Amino acid sequence: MNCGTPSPDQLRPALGLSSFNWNQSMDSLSPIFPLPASGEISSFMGNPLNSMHVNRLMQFPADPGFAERAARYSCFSSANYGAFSGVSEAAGKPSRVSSGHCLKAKESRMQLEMGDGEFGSGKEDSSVTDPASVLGESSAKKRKAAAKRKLKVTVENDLIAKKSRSAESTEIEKDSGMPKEEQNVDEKKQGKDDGTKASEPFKDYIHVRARRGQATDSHSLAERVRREKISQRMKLLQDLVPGCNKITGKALMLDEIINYVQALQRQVEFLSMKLATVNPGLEFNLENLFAKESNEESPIPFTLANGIDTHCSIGQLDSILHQAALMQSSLDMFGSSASQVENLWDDELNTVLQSSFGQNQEIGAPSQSFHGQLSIPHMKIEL
Amino acid sequence: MKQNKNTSSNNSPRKASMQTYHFLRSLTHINLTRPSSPLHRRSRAIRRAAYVSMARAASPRRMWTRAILGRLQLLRRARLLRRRRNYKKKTTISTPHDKLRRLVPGGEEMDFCRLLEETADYAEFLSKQVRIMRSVVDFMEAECRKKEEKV
Repeated sequence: MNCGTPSPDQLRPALGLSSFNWNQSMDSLSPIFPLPASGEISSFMGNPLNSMHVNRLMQFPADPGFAERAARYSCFSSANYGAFSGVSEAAGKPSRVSSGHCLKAKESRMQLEMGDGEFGSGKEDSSVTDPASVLGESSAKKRKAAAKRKLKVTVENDLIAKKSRSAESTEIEKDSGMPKEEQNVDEKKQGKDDGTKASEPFKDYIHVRARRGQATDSHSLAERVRREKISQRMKLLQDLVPGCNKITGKALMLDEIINYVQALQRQVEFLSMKLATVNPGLEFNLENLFAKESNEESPIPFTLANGIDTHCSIGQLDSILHQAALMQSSLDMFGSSASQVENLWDDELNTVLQSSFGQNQEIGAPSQSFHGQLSIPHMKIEL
Repeated sequence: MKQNKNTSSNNSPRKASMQTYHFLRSLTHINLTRPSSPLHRRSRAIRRAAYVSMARAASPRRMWTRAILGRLQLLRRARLLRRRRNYKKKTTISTPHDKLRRLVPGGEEMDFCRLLEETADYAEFLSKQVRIMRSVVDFMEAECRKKEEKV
């Protein structure tokens, strides 16, 4: 019976290697997750040793957002383990492979479902291949995996997902200069619904079964694989760029994408100029702001295309900033839907930012030194 | 990939707020160190800070991230990562995707498939950045107006 927090040494012989991995993963995960969750972790560690591992895992997600996150992270690593049992344990490979998986996970919700099913086992062997990058990828992908993706064919996703592992060598070999091929996607695409038979490879190269009435030589197979990849990515982009639902066809879509990126870049430049004029002196007390754990997230869902992660309870500033949906004037041509939300949140934004400024008053030295530099009276924020 | 001025622990903020954090931090840094430099230079610095904070918040595995950070400061590690990757296709044929390649940082040496991926990621972070900057500008203008009303 342990009192206090048992050290990993004590846990390890009792519960075997799996618990050690769990502790390790907890250590790696806990700095990333907010403090209340890690507090729960340490309290769970203090449970008597004879409690079942599974019980511990079931009690674990008191914080539902945490559970969701944990499931996703475990699913990535467990997916790696399940799929790569045969792959050699070369040092570089797991990280490369996990990155490949993470890339594809953007499109495949199937992996997320896999993770949910394997939550219990996945937790145990969620190891630390590359937690920072995995988490980075996964959180970015989580935002992208909007509900719109439910319509994607899982078989296709499976095909794409498994392909990530065929080290780019197969693509290099079979990848003859391709630009023209991409234009002929349309007719081939109609064959897509006539029985997409993509078999599940478990070796390093892809087993792609040819569809009905399609050519079967290796070149065209590889080309088709590539085309499917590209079409998947175009669909992704279509979700990202606002107002592109009606546009079909790669050339037009490409033009829209280019316009969108150009517009964004122009906006950044314009806003930076504006910031330079408006902003001779301001100080944000960032540490306090981000260390605060208060949950002032708005209950109003955020309806933009880029589903921003509203689970993060850390930055009041951040949540308000994102929800103060400011796709305005120059993006009007893309038809923003969130401009109404903005007016609601202006006040909140102001109050939050003012609170961040207000904290400056409490800190003696920095604010005073800062004010010493100011010469513009109307920008003084000593309030 | 730690910068000299961002050594504080950024573990607790999430990825979305990390971008905000970085940007605000560099913004204050710019304002404190050089409040009197000419406008265009400051706006250039702010623009650079915007892209860098985008790149910091995004995953370092992305090509555009590495391109931006490599552009910024010849960061040794980022460059090593870039070299270690095997470039799938070096094409000199002019394709319809040329424009896109030029827009996305680091887009010259990717094949189209990868370029689309990178574009999606880049566009996401760009739009986030725009939102952040716009809200900061709005807030500051509001503050200015309040000050002027008080005076």
